[in-house]
Amino acid sequence: MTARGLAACAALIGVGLPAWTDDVPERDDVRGGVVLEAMRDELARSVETLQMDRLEKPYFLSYRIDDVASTQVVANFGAVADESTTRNRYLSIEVRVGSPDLDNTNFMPSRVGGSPATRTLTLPLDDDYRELRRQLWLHTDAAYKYALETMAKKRAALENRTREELPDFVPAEAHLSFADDASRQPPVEHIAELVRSLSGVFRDFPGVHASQTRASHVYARSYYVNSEGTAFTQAQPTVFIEALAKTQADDGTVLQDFEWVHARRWEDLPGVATLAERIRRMAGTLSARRDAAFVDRYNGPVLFEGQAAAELFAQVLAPKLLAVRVPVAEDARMEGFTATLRNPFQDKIGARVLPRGFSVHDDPTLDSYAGTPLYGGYRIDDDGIPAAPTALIENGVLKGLLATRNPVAGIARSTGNRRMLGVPLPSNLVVATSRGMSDEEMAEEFRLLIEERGNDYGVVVRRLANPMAKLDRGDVARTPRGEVAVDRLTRAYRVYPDGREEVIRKAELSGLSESDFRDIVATSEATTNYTLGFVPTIAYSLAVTTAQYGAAASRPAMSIAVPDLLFEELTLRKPAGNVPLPPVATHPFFD
Amino acid sequence: MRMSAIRTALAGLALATVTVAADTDEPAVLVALNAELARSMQILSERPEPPYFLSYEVTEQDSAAASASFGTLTYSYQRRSRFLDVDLRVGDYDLDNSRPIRSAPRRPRRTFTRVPIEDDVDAIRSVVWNQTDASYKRALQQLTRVRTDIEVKVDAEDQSGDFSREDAQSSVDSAARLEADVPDWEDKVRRYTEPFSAYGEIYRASASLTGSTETRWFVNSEGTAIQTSEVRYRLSISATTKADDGMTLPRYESFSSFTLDGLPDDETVLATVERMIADLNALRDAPVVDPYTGPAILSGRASGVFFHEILGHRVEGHRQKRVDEGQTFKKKIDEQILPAGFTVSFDPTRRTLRDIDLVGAYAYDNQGVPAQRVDVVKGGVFKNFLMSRTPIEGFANSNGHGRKQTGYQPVARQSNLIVEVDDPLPREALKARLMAMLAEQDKPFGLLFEDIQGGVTTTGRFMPNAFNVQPILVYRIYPDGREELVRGVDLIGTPLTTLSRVTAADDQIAVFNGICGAESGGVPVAAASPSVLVSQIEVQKKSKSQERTPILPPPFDERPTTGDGEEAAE
Repeated sequence: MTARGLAACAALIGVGLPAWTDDVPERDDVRGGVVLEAMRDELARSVETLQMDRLEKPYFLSYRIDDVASTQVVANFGAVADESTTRNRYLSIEVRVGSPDLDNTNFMPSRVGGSPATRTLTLPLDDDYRELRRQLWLHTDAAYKYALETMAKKRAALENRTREELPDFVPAEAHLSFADDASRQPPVEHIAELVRSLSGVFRDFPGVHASQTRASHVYARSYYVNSEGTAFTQAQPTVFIEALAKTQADDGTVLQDFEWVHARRWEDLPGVATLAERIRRMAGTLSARRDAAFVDRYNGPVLFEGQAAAELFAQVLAPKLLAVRVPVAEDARMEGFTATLRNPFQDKIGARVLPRGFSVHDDPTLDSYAGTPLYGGYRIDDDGIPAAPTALIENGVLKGLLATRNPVAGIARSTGNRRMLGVPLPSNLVVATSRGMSDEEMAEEFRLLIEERGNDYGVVVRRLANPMAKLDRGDVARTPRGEVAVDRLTRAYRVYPDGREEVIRKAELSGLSESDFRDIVATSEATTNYTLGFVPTIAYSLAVTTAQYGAAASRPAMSIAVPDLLFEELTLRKPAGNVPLPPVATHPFFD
Repeated sequence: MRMSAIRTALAGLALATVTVAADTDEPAVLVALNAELARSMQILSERPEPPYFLSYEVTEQDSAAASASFGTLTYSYQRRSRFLDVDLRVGDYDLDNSRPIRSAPRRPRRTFTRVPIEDDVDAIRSVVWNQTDASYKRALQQLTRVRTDIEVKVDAEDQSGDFSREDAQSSVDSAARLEADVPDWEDKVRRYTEPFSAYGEIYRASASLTGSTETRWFVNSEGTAIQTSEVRYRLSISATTKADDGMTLPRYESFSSFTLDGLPDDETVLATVERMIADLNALRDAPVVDPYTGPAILSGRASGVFFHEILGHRVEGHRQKRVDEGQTFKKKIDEQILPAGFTVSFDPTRRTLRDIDLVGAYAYDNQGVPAQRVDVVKGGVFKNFLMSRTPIEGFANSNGHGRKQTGYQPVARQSNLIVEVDDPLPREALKARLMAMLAEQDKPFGLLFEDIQGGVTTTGRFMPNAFNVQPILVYRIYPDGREELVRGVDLIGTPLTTLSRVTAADDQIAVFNGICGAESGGVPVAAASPSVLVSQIEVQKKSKSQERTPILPPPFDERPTTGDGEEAAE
């Protein structure tokens, strides 16, 4: 039934039957239509005439509108639990007063609660020129007054303190870019049919205690205009499927796993049979882990394969590839905190951070890598800077960091990685090595390392948990101070020299640091593309130090292409701490 | 301390498509709940500390809404949702895990447990199982703390038990249908807000039309099984301007009904919008009143909210037992607290009053107890409390007022508050009485509170036991009878003093329909009252924005004329 379900759905898409809902209005003008016209006109009026009494005029003003149409269906255990179809228009304004050398940004006020940088401003959905102008007028007025107040506070804070000799904003050339990507929303019934059948897979797994399956289609269209003459529109559809599952072993240990599927368009999704099989495999491993043994302690070679290698790279190294500007604190006592925001890799440019032969670059212009799609790309960033590749690590040596128009020492130019938050964010990170091994070579290398170490077995990790993909969010690795935080190892296996594998119930890494990456001894030829919502907490902390008035509409996604990574020696431990008792009654369906 | 507030807020969240109900005798949700109830009680009965009571409530909201601002659509949706609430009790009726810990009262905690919106018994049971297990474990933990608390603390003043014994109920209401033509609603709210768009000084103007069918399934281990289903529609319109001194001046209007036809027609709504615009323009230029004490008339809606705050929240039963509560009326049974002609009742069985639907009506409360009318004040004498299944000394049973918003534990809450007087005066006579008081008290003016946006009160012991009613339209009444619109004050006071100043009422009964928020969440309530004359009230300055009006003029005239759109009037 499930297979036929998706086939019917694909047929509908193919012939474009009129059953489709069309929540995105038809636009005859790819150049932004009446929305961009209202933005340009109110921007021009404000730049020319907006000034409070004797106070300074804005020297920079930008408007961004995100029009987001989304459809989402959630199902539990074979039945739909929630269906929603929404459309919203979010406004974000940037007002800068002062000058590029010293303006109202890079300043952390003492009270950040309720900051307009984190508040969403919504606009009417109708393409009504006059009403858009009214709303832009009122919000610009409020944003300008807020900028003046922030500027006054920053100047006051700097009266008796020195400041890092860095400008607050780098100039950029005007750029025009107009693009649309018309995408039709799949009807909610089609999404529901798929999600219902995928969530029904869990009816075959008595070992899984709870699950949730979700699919969404989001179509986001952005409009941008600034006082330097830049204007752009861009649009992207995103399809996302998530299955989360949770269980407890008889000793109470909480075990979780997940499956994510990304696509640009509904019709690009794999068939329902393929999707169901992936979920089935996940549920099967999760069930098996209930009876599996722990590793109390393990020191030795660890091989990260596929998703686990990508997730490890994303959690540990990716946050270090971002240029972070340390803001001026309003209260000097907060400088202890702001100093912790500094990225230590800013001092490592020119230093070795990975083994020789490794290169890492970020490329928002890529749609795919090694024949599989990437989903972190864009044409133009949220400052209006055209997307371009950036070399970050070459032959193991750190060459640069991702940057926005907010400079840090040693990085004077934007790399086009502004994504509406307080720090630059990666788009598509590509990790390549000069000498990748075939699967057989990797296996042999791994076996030799195990032998050399005198261990009975080695450990291969195929799934690393992601903090966002959990039914029980309280189940996180508790990392001792000084250790790099990495989430738990969800699918880890003991591998014996004869090739035999045994799944491990649950484990976590102990004492990992970025420098362990320099001890990677082998990588595979093949790479895995993996996509995740990537927003380090620091990006939210620092959002309040930007000129942004009105929060970003969504969590930016990053794609990462990584080979399998073989570490010569890492330490694994059994997760410490007490666990909740298992359920008193058994699952009613399997009772 | 408890903060409670009644507001003209929108109740709705959710909604959407119609599902096909399984074609069996019993609704699928009831089948699932009953099956899991029986299984859980059986399995848990073998534990060392078995539950003595278990109830499940699933609340389905099938809702639709459209909202517009200045003639343009801001949102619209249709959505359906189902949420589960579990009440699992260990111990016994006299002492159970629900008893508040005196050293550290539990903070109300809201839980959201989604239940499949499709009538799939197995899928629903899987969610119910998970929540039952979590509830049982939490209850065990609570009971351990409760038992220690009673050992280490002084004896409780109120020795009543923790849960009342009630009769089992069985009732399956037919499922109500939501009538929602969302595109038509979108069109309506656009038209209702279009007139505001000509005014650059009105900074916010919106209208929302919401409809929601709430279907509840309730079962408990005492044998109760109920299905209720009720549709509600609400139209609310709000607009805001700002005076030159920065004061934000709002105007709200709302209409509630059990039927779509019960909402006013377009002509009536548009006339209301014109009146709102005129009021806003007048308010901007109205003089600011300083803090003042003297006589006042509260219009029916203002008076309804006034009674809701000063009396209603203080007669909620459980508050007479909690040691951190003020317990204003606990020992006032059979005492005169209002003039002899006054009766104040709470009547959830009453659905309309003078052709206005009362949103605080229901058939069963959230503990499965049938709704009942409760006369709290009769002939000016205090008689009764609003009761949930939490007994208090002298009141062993529920009177059907155990209420909550989905996700909270029920407590005693208000329903439809109705103030009636035996000897109403005509409006003019009430005003004449006020003018006479001005002479007696040697006051330059009295106040008339014509409309209000809501109110708030604290009933605890830590903060002063006071109330604040937030008016929108206030007039000064001069000794010669002249009325003048003013702004900038809130009506404040303390309950016993203020009640003792209530003197007379007229025959102009009005209804305030709103959402009341307290520790068990937001519940729909109504407050109906005639206008009331109070011999002495106090007003304090309203909190005020310090933001200036916009620097630039509105942008309306700046677009090259295209022929469409209206020019800014005024």
